[in-house]
Amino acid sequence: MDMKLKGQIALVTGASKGIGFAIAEQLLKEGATVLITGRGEGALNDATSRLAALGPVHALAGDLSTAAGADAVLAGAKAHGEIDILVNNVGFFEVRDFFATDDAAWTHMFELNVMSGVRLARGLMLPMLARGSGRVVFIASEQSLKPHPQMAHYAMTKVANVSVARALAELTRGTAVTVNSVLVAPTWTEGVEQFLQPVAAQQGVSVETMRAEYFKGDGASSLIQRFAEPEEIAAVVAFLASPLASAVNGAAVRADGGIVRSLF
Amino acid sequence: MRHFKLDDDSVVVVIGSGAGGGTMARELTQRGIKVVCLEAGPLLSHIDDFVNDEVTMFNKLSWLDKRSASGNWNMAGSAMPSWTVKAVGGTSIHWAGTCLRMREHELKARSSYGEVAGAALADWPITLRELAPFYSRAESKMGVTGTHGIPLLPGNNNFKVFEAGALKLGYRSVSTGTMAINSQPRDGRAPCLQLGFCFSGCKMGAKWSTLYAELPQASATGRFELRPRCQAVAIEHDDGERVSAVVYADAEGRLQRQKARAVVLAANAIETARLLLHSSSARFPQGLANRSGLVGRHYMRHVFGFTYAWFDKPVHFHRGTTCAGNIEEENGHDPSRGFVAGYHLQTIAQHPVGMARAIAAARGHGAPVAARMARYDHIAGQMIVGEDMPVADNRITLHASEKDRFGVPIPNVHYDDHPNNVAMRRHAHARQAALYQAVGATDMIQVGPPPATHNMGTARMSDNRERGVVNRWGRAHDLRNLFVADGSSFVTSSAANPTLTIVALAIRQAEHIAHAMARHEL
Repeated sequence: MDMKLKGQIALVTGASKGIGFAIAEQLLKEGATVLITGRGEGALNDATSRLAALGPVHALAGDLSTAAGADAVLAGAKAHGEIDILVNNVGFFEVRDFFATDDAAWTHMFELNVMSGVRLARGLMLPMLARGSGRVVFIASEQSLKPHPQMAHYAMTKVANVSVARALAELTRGTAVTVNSVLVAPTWTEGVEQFLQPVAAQQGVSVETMRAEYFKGDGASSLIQRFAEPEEIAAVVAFLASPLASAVNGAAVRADGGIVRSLF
Repeated sequence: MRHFKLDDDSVVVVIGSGAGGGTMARELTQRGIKVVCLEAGPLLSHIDDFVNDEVTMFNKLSWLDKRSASGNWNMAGSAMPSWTVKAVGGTSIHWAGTCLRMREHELKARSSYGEVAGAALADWPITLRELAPFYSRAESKMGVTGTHGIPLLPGNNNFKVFEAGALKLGYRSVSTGTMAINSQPRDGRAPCLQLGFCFSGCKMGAKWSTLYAELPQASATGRFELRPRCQAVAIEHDDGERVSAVVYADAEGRLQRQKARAVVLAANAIETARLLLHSSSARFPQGLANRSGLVGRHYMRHVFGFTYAWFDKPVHFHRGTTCAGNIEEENGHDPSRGFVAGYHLQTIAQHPVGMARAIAAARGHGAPVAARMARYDHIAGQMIVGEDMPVADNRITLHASEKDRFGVPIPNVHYDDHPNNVAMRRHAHARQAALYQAVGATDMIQVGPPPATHNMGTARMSDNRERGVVNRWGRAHDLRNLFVADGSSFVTSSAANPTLTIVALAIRQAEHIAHAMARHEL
């Protein structure tokens, strides 16, 4: 299916690896020009060279947890022309006991996971509204709807993404601009694997065992009974970013493997 | 005022009293030539009849005769695809006053831009070198700011927002521009008091209009007769190569026939083409002066577009000069932008009715309009004026069945937006958005072109009689005493607002006609 993304310019944040990388890959395959951001120049350049064969990709280094970093990315992005698609993907997660999570951890989580998207939307959405077309996608999580006490700060930022997306969608009334969020399933990425390795070692089990055990415990309600692959998330995001999704606006789209046990 | 008899064939009949016709009337009469000017609209007094009310003035001034429109543009289906004036002074009453010269590369459009698919680009038969002295005379006559030592206009708030954003984007050329609006007393007319309402007619006469700047000068020669409410319906020719008379409907709707030594057609590009097409005869079955088949073709209207932005603080963009603000940097030929030719960014204010329509078009009716109109005083506005590609099938034709009250078929305006225009408008809209964003816009809308006031190209100029309707002097190839003195003769549109070029060409043409008459060639 032609997703009609040829020639569009997309900005995907946090795309050195994981879901962001997969989204960039998918958009490139569909013929878009993709600008990717990342904090570490090494990983970013590595990702750029891996993606270069698929189409026009450009790296924009910057720490989006700071206003200065966001300004640098915005300036870099505007040099490439009008941005048609903004995918606010960047974010990190950690498992941390609530009572051991200090203010700085909460604030940092908020700065990166929430303010990054706020800052970029503030810079890029007005021209979209002015010309009446554009796409903004926020990457949220199943944690937006079923917060885990070991990730209270992360879950808080993820529901904030959904809220901001809906609020921004209200600004698009009467235009062809859309703003949506995607509630992402537990997804098997390098980041998750790296996070689990020390935990598995501590518990004296293999990462593979932990991967399977997850669906007997916290992930029991999952209907697919497995971690999603980044490409599966990227396919949903690419659709939402495409002209085909013109009737989807202000939605929190679930790509959660059915883990949230509710009708709506 | 002098009165000429209908059978006096020593007069030059000028059809239209706007920038082209009004200028022509003054220039010819001051050279000793007798002129009868037929104007379809009424004679109004700017002092007594102009009011600062856009809707009243729209109804009082506009050419509201029905037209039809087809093509892929937003005016298709509209009965008013073009906004021109039906009153003595023509569209020089409504115009903004912006006076930009065409540039060298624009006058050589075909050589500069190369072959562009679907566009009939051509070089003008005249060069900037030939035109420059007439531009200078036009600027002097019109009192254009920034020329002949005339100071620039002060900037209104709309300009100040525009200027601040422009400087942030690195546009160093930003200024209130070269405007035919008095910044100081000149030519017996007052300086601009920044009332606003430029499009409704300048009540104080600070903005140049033929109504009070040219036509009284023509009258003062004793060789001029103005016939308001007299609408030309056909031009007649003799058995040779000459036009002989103009048939017109007078104020009572009776048809009259004024004999003529020569005819100057300056009815604005749609009506000029319509008159020629309707004046067909056995010898000119395709329309008068239309052996080339080009009458009505290559209709151009400029690449227009608008960006309106809302700000935290009031702007009151409707106060002061409606359009005094211009950026030059984008008016070059830089194909790396994804299109040929260039555009100007200019300030503009929109009256409340027009603004509400623009918001509704961009955001939908009802609440979106109400919320934004409540903050009408917080809006700043910009317009795009870009070079339009001449397309052979963008043309004026006579409607197959509908006729006006004098039995003349109404004109159909067909226009398809050329892909180059679409790419240019998109680029310009992005620059406008960036400009307003750089100075803190909180909301923005961008809308496409309104009914065009810049109408050009329908009687194209060329030295080759097969490639143009008129020659380098604006004289019809097919008829030796028929001239075109409005934007119809434009080969390409350039990105310059057309009035200054119309006036410069009319001065040049009047000189040519006077010399030809002195040599008894006319």
